Amino acid sequence: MNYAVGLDKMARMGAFVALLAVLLAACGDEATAVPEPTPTAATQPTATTAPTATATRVPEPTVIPTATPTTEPTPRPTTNLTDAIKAEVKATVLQFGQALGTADAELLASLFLQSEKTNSFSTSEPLRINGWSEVQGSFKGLLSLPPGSVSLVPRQGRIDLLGNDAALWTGHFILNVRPPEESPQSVNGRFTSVLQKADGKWLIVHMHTSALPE
Amino acid sequence: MNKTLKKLTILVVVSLAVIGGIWGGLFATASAENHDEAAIKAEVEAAVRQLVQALNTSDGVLFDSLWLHSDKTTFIPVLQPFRVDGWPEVRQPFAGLLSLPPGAVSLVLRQLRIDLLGDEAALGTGHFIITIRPPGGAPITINGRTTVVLEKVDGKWLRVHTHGSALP
Repeated sequence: MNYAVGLDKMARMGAFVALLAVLLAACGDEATAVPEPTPTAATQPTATTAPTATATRVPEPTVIPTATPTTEPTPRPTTNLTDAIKAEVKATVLQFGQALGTADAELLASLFLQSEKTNSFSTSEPLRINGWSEVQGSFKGLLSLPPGSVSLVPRQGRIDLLGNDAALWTGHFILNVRPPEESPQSVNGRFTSVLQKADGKWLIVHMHTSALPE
Repeated sequence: MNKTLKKLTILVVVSLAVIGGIWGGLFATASAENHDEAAIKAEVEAAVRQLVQALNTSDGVLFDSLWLHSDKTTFIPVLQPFRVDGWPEVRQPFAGLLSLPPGAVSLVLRQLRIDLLGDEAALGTGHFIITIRPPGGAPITINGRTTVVLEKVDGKWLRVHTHGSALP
C-alpha cells in the first residue's frame, strides 16, 4: 500500500515536471521566434569593459519615435566609444609583439581564438595554415628561442572597427631574430590581423604577413 | 494499484512526448542556424567572386560597386610595398588592370574559405593565380595568397580590406 502511495506521489511530481518542461519549451520557442533587438551604442558589450570615464561620457543615442519602419543600419559607436574600443584592440595587438619578444607561449595562446576557424598566411609558409593548433605550431620556432631573441616592431599600425564584434589591424613591421650563435635575421613586411570579440575579449582569428615585394 | 500503473503509463508517454518535443525543437533551431550561416557565407562568397569577374571582364563599374567607398578602406597590394589607405587611392593600383581589354586578365581563386565575424563582418581567404596578357607584351603570372575583409553595409557585403601577397 505504501508502495502504491509512493508511486502516486512520484506520478504527481513527474506530471508537474513534465508541465514545467512544456512551459519552458514553449518559452524557448517564443524566444527564438522573436527577432533580436538591434543593438545600440549604449548596449555594446564593449562599453562595460571600456574605461568607465570614457564610457560615461558617451551620449545616449536619441530615439526618435517613427510610425514607419526604418531600414537604417546598426548605429555605429560614437567617436569616444570608438576610441575606447580601438584602445582595447590596440592593447591586444601590442601584446602579440610582447609575447614573441619574451618567448611567452602562454601569452601568445591567450591572444588567439582557439578554434578551427583561426587561420593564417605567414612570410615563410606558402599555403594557408588552418586551425588554431596549426597556427600555434607555426610560432614554435620563434617561441623556442631565448627571451629577447625576437623583436617585432610594428609601424604605421592602423585599427579599423568592423561592426561591433570585429576589428582589423594592418600595418608594416620589422621582425628581428637573433638566434644564439647564429647570424641575426631581419624581415621587413606588411601585416593584416583580423580580431573578433569573443566572451568580451578581442582575439586574433586571422593573420596575413608578407615580406615587402622586391 | 491499477490506477497508479495507468497514471505511470500516462506520465511516461507525456514525458517522452515532452522530451521529444524539446529535442526536436533544439534540433530544428540548430538546423535553421546552420542553414542561415551557410546562406550568409554563400552571399559573402558571391561578393568575393564578383571581384574576380570584374577584373576578368575589365568591368570598372562592377569593380567599384564591390568596395566600401570610405577612408576606412585599405589595400595591401602584391607588387607595391606599402598599404594604400582610403577609397579613391585603393582604386588606383587596379586602374591599369581595368584599362586592359576584357579577357586580358585571368584571375582564378583557389581554396577560398569564408569565415563570419559576427553579423556585420566576414573574412575570405584563399590562393590565387593571376595571368595578365598586356597587348603586345609578354604575359605575367603571379601565384599568391589573398585576405579579403568585408563589411555588411545597407544589406550589401562590401570590401573594406584586401591583402595580396606572392607565394614566399
